[in-house]
Amino acid sequence: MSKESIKYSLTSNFDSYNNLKFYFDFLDSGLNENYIFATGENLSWTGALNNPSPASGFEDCRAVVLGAYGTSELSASGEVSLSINESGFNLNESNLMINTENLSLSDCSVLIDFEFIDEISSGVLFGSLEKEELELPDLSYITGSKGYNVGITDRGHLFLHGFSKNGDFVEVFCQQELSKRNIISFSSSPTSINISFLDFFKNESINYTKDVEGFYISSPDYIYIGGSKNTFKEVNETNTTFNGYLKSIYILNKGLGHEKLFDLQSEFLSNYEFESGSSEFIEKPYFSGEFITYMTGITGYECIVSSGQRQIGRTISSHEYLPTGVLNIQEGGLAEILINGELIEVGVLSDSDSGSYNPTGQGAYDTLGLQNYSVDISGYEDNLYFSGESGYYPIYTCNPLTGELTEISGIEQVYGTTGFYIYEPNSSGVTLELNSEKFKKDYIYYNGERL
Amino acid sequence: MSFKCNYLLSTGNSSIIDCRSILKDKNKKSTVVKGESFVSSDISTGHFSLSLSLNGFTLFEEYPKKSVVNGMDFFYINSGDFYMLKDEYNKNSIYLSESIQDGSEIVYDQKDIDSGSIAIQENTGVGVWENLTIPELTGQIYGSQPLDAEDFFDRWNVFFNKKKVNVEDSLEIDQMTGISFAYKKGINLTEIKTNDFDIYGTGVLPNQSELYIDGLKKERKTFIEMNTGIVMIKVGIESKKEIQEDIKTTFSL
Repeated sequence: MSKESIKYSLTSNFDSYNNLKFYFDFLDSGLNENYIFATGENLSWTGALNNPSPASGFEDCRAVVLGAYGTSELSASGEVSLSINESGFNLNESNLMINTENLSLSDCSVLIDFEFIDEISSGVLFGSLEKEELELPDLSYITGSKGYNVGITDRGHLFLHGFSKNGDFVEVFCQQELSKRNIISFSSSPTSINISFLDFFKNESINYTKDVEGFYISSPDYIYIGGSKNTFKEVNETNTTFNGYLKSIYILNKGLGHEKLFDLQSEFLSNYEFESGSSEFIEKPYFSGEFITYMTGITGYECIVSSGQRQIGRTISSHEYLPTGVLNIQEGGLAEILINGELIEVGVLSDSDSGSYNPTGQGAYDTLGLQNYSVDISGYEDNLYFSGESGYYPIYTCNPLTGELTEISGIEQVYGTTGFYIYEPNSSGVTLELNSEKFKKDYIYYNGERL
Repeated sequence: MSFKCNYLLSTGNSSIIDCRSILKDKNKKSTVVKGESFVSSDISTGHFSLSLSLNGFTLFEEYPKKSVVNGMDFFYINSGDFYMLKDEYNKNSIYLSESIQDGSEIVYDQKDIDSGSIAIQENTGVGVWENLTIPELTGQIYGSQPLDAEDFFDRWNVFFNKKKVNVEDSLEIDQMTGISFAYKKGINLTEIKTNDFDIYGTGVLPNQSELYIDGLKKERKTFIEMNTGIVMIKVGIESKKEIQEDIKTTFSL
C-alpha cells in the first residue's frame, strides 16, 4: 500500500487522478505525520486531516476530526495523533467530518477498510443521511432527505439506512458474515445504491443492491465517518457510534461497478513496483575465416656445452716419403715423383726413347702420337706419423627442439559474434501482499440445536 | 446429551494470495434420480476429486470396472459406495451402489485428488481394529506412510461404516464389523474434537470448514463462521420500539 500504487491504479484505470476526491490511509505512517493539522483561532482549535495527493479534491474535502479539540493548534493536532495507532484511526474516540463540496453522493463510490474492536455493537460507519420535516399550512408534515448511512448492526451485519418515497428504510445484509477486518465498497447511481463486501480470499466482491432514486440521496454539506446526523439511535453527528478502527477510506466522484471497485481496492492495497528499462544484446554468429593448425615435431637440436676432458683423436706430428720400389709407368701415364722434397704428380715421358715419334714432321704437328714405350721410375709413399695427445675439448649435449612443422594437421572454421540490441522499456505494476489473519473467521457458532 | 463434535478447519497461512490457492468449493448439492446424480464439472476435475455424503454419511468412491454385454458397456463396483463417469458432453455423473429414494440430496465438496484406501473388518474382538483393519488401510497408502495410529488419524480422515471415527474410538469399533476407508486430509488443516458446539479463536478461512457430529457430516447451513466480537444473543434490550407514522409526502432538498 503506497501513494505510488494509488497513482498507478488511478492512471491505469482512469488516465488521471481526477476521479479520486478524498482518501486517507491511516496505515501509512508518513501520511499521518504530514497531513495532520488543526483549524480554529484563539483558544478554540479542532484537529483535521488534509486530503493527501493524489486526491484531486485537495481543498474541498478536508476531514475535521470532531473529537480532537484543543486550546492551541498543537494540542488539537496532538489529539488527532492520539486517535491513530498501528490499527488505524480509532472511531471510538472521534468521528470524521468531510466536506462534500463538488462531490455528488448520488454518483460516487466509497471504499472503506475497517476493523472491529472487541465486542461488536451497532454503529454508523459512513453517515450522510439528513432528513428535514416541514409543517405545511394544513398542519401536515412533509419530509425530505439527503444521503444515506452505512453501518453495522449489533449482530455484525452490514446495513444501509436511507429514506425513499415509502419513508425510512433499513436494509440489513444478513447473508454476509463479517471478520475482524473488513473492506466494503458502496456506490450510488441515479436509481440504486450498491453495497459490496470485498472477499479477498475468493478474489471477488459480493454485491447487494437497494433500489433508491437518486432524488432522495443527494449530497448533504458533510458526510461523517463514525456517526451521522440522523440514525435510528443517535441524532448528534459528534457522537461516536462505531466501535472500531478506520484503516483507510477512498471517495471517488463516479458511481463505479462493484467489480471495478474491487480491482481498485486491490491495487490500492498493493505494493508498487517499478523496474527500469534495459537493453538486451541478442548474439548472432557469423563466419569470419579459418584457423589452420600445423603438425608439431622435432625441428632441430639445441646443443649446449658441458664440461669435461676427453681424448678426441690424434695429431700429425711428422711425415716422410719412403721409396716403394720401381714402378713401370707407361709413357704419358701419371705418376708421383719426388721433386725438391715434395711428391708431385706429373706425366711420365721416357728419357731413353725420346725423339722417336711417329708420325714426324708435318704429321707430328697434325697428330701428337705417343708410342707404346714405358720407363721405370722410383715410387714413394707418404708415411704419416701421429702423436696421441689429450686435452680440454668442448663436449656438447644436444636436445631436440619441437615446434610447428610445415605439414597441416587440421583446419577450423572460425565464427565471430555480432548481433543487435533489444530495448525493454520501463515497467511498473502492483503486487497484492495483504496479510490474511484478520480477514479470517475466528468464531464458529452452531445453529443445529438452536434452529 | 453426549456427542462428539469434530471440526475440520482450514487455516491457510498469513498471505491472502497463498490462501486463495487452497480454497475448495464446498457444500454443493445434487439431487439423485434413479441412482444417478449430476455434479458440476467445474468442481469435479475427474475421479477421486470429490468428497460425497448422503444424509451425513460419507461415501467411498471406487473406480468402476467395465464389462461388455451384447456390445454394450456395463460398469460396476465391488465394495465402494459410488463411482463417477464423464460423458461425451463433459458432464459428470455420480452413480450410487445402493438404491435410494429419488429426490434425495447428495452433498459434495471438492478435495485433493486421492483414491483413498478401503478395508473390510469381518471379525470383532479386542485389537481387531488397530491390529488388523488399520494396517490394512495404511498398507494401501502410497507415499508418506503414517508413523503410527495417531499420525494416521492426524493426517487422514478415517471412516467406519460411513461415519468419521477417531483414534479414541478403537474399543467401540473393535466390537463392530463393517467397511472402513480413509482419505488424506488437505493441507493447513486443524481438527478440533470437542463436546461444545461453538468454537472460538481458530482463524479459519471462510467457507472451508467441515463439521461432523457423532461421525455424521453436517451441512454448512448448520453453523456460522464470523468474528469473535459478535454476540449472537443479547439480553436486556427493550423489545418494543415506538414508531411514529407521520410521513405524508416527500420532497428533495
